[in-house]
Amino acid sequence: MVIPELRKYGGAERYLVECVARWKDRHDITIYTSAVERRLLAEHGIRGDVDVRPISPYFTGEHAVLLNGALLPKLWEQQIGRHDVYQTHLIPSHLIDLHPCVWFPHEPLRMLHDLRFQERRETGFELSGRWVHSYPQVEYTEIDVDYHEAHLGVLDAIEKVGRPDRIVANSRYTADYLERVFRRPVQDVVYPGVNVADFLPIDSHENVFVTIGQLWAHKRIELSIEAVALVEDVQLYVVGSGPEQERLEERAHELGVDDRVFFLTGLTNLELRILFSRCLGVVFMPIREPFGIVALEAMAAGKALIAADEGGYTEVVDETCAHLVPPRAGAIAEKMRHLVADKAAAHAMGSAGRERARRYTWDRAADELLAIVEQTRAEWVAEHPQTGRPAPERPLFAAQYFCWYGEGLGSDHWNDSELGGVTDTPVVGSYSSTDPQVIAGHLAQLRSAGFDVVIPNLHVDSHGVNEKEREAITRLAGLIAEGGSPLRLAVQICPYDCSPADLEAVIGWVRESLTGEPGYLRLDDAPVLSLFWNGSWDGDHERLEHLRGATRDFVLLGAMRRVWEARTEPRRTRGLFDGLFLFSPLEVAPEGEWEATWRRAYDEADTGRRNLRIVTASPGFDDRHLRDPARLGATRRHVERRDGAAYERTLHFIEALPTCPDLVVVSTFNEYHENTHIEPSERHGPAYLERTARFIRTRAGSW
Amino acid sequence: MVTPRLVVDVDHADLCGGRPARMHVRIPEDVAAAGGVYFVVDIYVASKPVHPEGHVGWWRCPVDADGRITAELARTARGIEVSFEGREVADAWVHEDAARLAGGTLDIRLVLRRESNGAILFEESVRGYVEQAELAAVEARCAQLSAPRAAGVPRGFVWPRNARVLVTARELRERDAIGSFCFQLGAMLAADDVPVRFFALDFDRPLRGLVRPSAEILDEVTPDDVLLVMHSLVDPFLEDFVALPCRKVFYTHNITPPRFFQIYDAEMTELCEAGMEQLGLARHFDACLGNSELSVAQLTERLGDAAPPVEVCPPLLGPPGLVDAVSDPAPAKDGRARLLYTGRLAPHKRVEDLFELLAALREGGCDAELVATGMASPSSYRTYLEYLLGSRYADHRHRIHLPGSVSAGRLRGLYESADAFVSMSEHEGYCVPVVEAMAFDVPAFAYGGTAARETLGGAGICFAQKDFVSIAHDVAAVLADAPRRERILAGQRTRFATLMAEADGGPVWRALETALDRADPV
Repeated sequence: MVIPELRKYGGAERYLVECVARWKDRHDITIYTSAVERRLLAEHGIRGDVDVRPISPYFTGEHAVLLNGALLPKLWEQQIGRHDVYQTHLIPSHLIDLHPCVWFPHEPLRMLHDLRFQERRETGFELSGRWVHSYPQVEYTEIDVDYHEAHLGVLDAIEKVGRPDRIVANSRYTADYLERVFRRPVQDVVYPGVNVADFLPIDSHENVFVTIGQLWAHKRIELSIEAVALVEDVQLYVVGSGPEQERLEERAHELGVDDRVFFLTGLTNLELRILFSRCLGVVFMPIREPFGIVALEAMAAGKALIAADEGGYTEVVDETCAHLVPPRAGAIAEKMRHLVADKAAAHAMGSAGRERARRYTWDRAADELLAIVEQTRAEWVAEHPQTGRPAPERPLFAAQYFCWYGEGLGSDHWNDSELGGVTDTPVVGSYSSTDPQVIAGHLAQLRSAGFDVVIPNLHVDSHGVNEKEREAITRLAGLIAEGGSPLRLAVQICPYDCSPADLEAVIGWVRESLTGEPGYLRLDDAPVLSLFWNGSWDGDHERLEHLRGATRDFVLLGAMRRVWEARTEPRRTRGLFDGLFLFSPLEVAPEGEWEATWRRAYDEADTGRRNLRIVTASPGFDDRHLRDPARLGATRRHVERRDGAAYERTLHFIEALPTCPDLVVVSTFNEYHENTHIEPSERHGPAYLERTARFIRTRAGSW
Repeated sequence: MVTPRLVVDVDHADLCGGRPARMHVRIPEDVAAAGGVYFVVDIYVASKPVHPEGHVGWWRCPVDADGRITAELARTARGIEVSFEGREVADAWVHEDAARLAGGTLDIRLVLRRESNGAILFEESVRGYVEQAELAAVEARCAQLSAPRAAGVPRGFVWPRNARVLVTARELRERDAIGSFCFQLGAMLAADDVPVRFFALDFDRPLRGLVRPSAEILDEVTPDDVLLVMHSLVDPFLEDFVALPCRKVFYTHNITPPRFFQIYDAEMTELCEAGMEQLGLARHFDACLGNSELSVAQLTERLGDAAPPVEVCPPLLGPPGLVDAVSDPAPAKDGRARLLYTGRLAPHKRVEDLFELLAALREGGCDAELVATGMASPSSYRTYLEYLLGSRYADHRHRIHLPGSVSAGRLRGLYESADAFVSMSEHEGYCVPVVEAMAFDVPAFAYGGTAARETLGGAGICFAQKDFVSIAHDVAAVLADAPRRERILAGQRTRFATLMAEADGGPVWRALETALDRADPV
């Protein structure tokens, strides 16, 4: 649950605390907030059983409004941990792009509203700046008058973006507003609650009126003060604080009612309820109040309500308990006089309100909201299936396999161009990847080492698919099928600057030509396809949607060049992959951070929809000899093998994992450009393949 | 700024035997000349000064530039008639049953109001007596209170021939801690030939004659006088006092933090806030006293560098006055343990916590009752307490007694019958009731976050947390365990002896001497 601050009882804070108090025994809850007053939680029995974690505080200073509206929620997004479902409160938490998320805005973007409201109030004055209320600051923020329109535009945009999975409004009034802003239906309205039993049902005979609210212009407290000046012998207690206080005190003084208007702050819940018990009526005059919990509290306290005839609370009151009046001092004064003169009527209105308030319990509000949260979570899971798959008894061992080589040194991918080249060669020489004997030899080596899966890479670029690779893969599949090999095949497509049509065609070819073979790897009864992902299409929604459609019938793995986080990955790849793994683990972090980085990636396995746990081993990396401009800026071009020590680090990491992975990928069997090969070679001999065989033998039997 | 005020030349209106009463009211010329005010004689039944059932009527009179008004009051068959010499009554309202209402002692209020909105700017009050016997009894009581009585240490310096001590307080009531101390002090000073006069903004109206309205100091003071200001709440005259050409001593009785009152009585809250702000004015005095270390600390933090000497002076001169009262035995306890609390039933006294303690005791199996004496104020707090007794503590209601303000004799009787004194008060400047508890050999339990801990000085039992179950456990243990109780009482007796030795008036004499030693009045 996310709320910007949790320091005092505003409507949103109360809502959250009341819900947490009721949900905490049913769910594990973490509250994220930039400031917390523990007393608020303790008063509701919330102590160590709910985790409260900090997020960044509000910016202050120049342009703080914009920073808080746009940048801050993005910081929060990074600081918030992984959870099954997010329930966020207030603006700007709608910009937190974590899912599934139920957003409870409580109120529209108040500062946007204030800018407009202020404009009306100050018409005719020369202004150097405009004073706006940006939640939850305690003073107005000044906006330079020259920036006014620009601010309006930006804030308008901020208000409209954000994509929570579900929006819940605290009144139909607010829901209608949100529908206009977000242009989507807001069907869920959950009125706040009130604990009637907490209030003291005392029929007061004092001519005391109470008004409650933060002292901002939009609360229109001055109307109540002006009304007091029109009615003899009544007192008004103004409960709240805010930047308008001084102006309101001056107004009371001007009107000669400073001996009858009192300003109170810092009341405890009990004190507030005692004050309610003293009063004859509650005055509530906010402009466009989204709900206005004060109205419910007045009803629960058994007090007549004099309130502006607008806002969300008008949906829960009626004429038996409330005088809904135009927002004018004279109208308020008239109703004050009525209540003073006819206390029996005031008490009757109070009783009616108290009865009516019993319908709006916090139990009801918390249950209704929780049902929405749970339903949102369930719908998300249904749309984004994640198998909470049990750990297998043993993993599958797979090898990245490259079949792009031509026959003889100097041919394709050996030393064929200025950009390419190798610094080591196989023991068997510079083979052709399409040579059946070579393929058969490789299959025998892989099988002998204990591998279960071979992952041939199939490159697609602006020239289309690499036909040599396609040919090799076709033969590879045929040999596996013919020989009855227990090895399974799973293609890894490596898309570069290819067209969507070419890519779709290649995927289609894999589907049509390979996946029907018995030797093609299937998981969860679906063929497995891996996609080499260098990140260049991150956030490219069109591409991603296209890929999603083209691979819908596959278990799609992402062979990642970068580390992923569950919190950010949905924004990058939009839930495309069923499982993710590192293509080149030694490249993604400095040596000192290897294990921590690999572990983080492993622990984020459920970033993929099927929660596949895949881990990668690699013997080293060295592409310094390559002159491809695309490689020149890479951070780590050389990770020394150190006679196998680097490989051992990856293997030891895998051995120490707390759970058995679904797939262990060795990257690679034969990628000589990057010197990641374990195939017996001139430089390293058979050591790496033999070490791999021992590793598989050991781990396959004893995980 | 002109402080609105008026002075009246009578201590009471003698309406006995149908006699008319005249009173000369003088509104200072600076106030009258400033304009914008009018004068009202507003008469209530003294025993029920509320509108409308105890409201006899009001009569309005304009204020001329000379500020002098002569009012004449007379009982008639219709009730009371008020006239103003040389002027017409500008407006009036008289209760339809004024004849009946005017049959007893009256509360005659002389009020200055603002023309623009009717706000009360100043109010003075005198009693109107219609029975001779009552008037005589009041006069006798005043004489008794002002009689010299030797106490404490003697004056150790020569008293200047023309000097008087003018004691002033916001409130002076015979039965409250400040009033009791003032009258004790007056008796001590008088016994040492020091002339004393009392002034207050508000006081027991029957004592008018012994006590004069504070406003009169401004006209009466001479450069030879020493003004002794008893400060416990904002005093609207304090700035005027500072400007007076006389020597001055400031005594703080501590100010209750405003937050305790804010939901019950916003006006009292503002008085406390303003009183806090006023403490800084004490730097203009020649000497300062405080009733406890806590109060002295509250004062000194507002005095700054150029502070006058400040000394702790307990608000007692010898044993509490209650010790001299003739006991009026309290009702029988029927075998129950009796917990006693005395003092105002005010928000900061946390009377509701006494209810909680009693509930914890009874739920723990101890057959106990609570007697909490004292006037409930503000009324909204009383309403809250009554609500609690009717709801949360309904099961204990029959064991909770709130007799209100009781006579000195009855209070003594209650102390004599009490098994324990309990205080949950969260603010005390000194805590006289725990001294009384020690005087009557009653084990005292007090919340220690206040000067009550200082007053107890290690005797009795203090608690820092309001863990009612634990406190109840301790109370029950002391009640049941006679040797343990005796050990506590022995400690209290020792502490009481120490307190009595300290309550010798010495700090007062030293402060007066310091003030008199000043070459010229400040």
